[in-house]
Amino acid sequence: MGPFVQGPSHRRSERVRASLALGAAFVGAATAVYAGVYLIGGLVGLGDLPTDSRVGLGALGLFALAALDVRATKRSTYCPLSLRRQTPKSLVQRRSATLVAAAWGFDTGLAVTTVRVAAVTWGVVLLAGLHLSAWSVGVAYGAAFAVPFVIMLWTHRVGRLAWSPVPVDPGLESMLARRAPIQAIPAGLLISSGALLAGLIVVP
Amino acid sequence: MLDLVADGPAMLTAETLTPAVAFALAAVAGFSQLFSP
Repeated sequence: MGPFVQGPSHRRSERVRASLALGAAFVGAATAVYAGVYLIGGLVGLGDLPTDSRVGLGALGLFALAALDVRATKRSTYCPLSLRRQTPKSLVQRRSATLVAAAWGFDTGLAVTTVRVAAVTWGVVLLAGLHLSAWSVGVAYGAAFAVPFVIMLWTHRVGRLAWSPVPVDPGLESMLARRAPIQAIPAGLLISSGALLAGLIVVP
Repeated sequence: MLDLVADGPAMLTAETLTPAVAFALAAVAGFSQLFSP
């Protein structure tokens, strides 16, 4: 996406449109997915379970997901609970920048259709399904990705690949190398959140 | 224990705390995806 926004082959208005389309599609898809999970949780009766049961199930689930993240970090892999696919890059050759940005944003924003860095995504799915979160929790997921990502599109050196006359280190490898410490943060948060939820049951 | 009638304050804690936890987890989940391949 970087070359779309910083490259010379698109007008500034097109770049702005592509950035907005990406951000809106990502946040919209994330909101829709988590709202859908919340809705399904209500339809199958999970939301009607006693509060302590839902909190207990949530705590157990968060601990289990934390274990998956710890295992993935030790093995230097991504979250095992994810599809090993990405949005097809061939779209770039066939569609406009805005449409590709929207399609990429929507696909990745769906949260469960592409590679997951950490299992914490599933923790949010679990809490939404158990009605332990608001239906709109996907807005937080979407904004936490889309806002820094769009800022990076306009500022990160990866976009310079499109027009630089000399080889440029896109910086992607150094970003991906930070994956392990980044995975440790969600794992720690899952454990502390699970403990917090368990405390709600144990401590009156 | 977390019954609304029998233990109102505890219920209030669960009802207010878990959405905040979920929002924090969601924000970290979204941010962590910046480091996906």
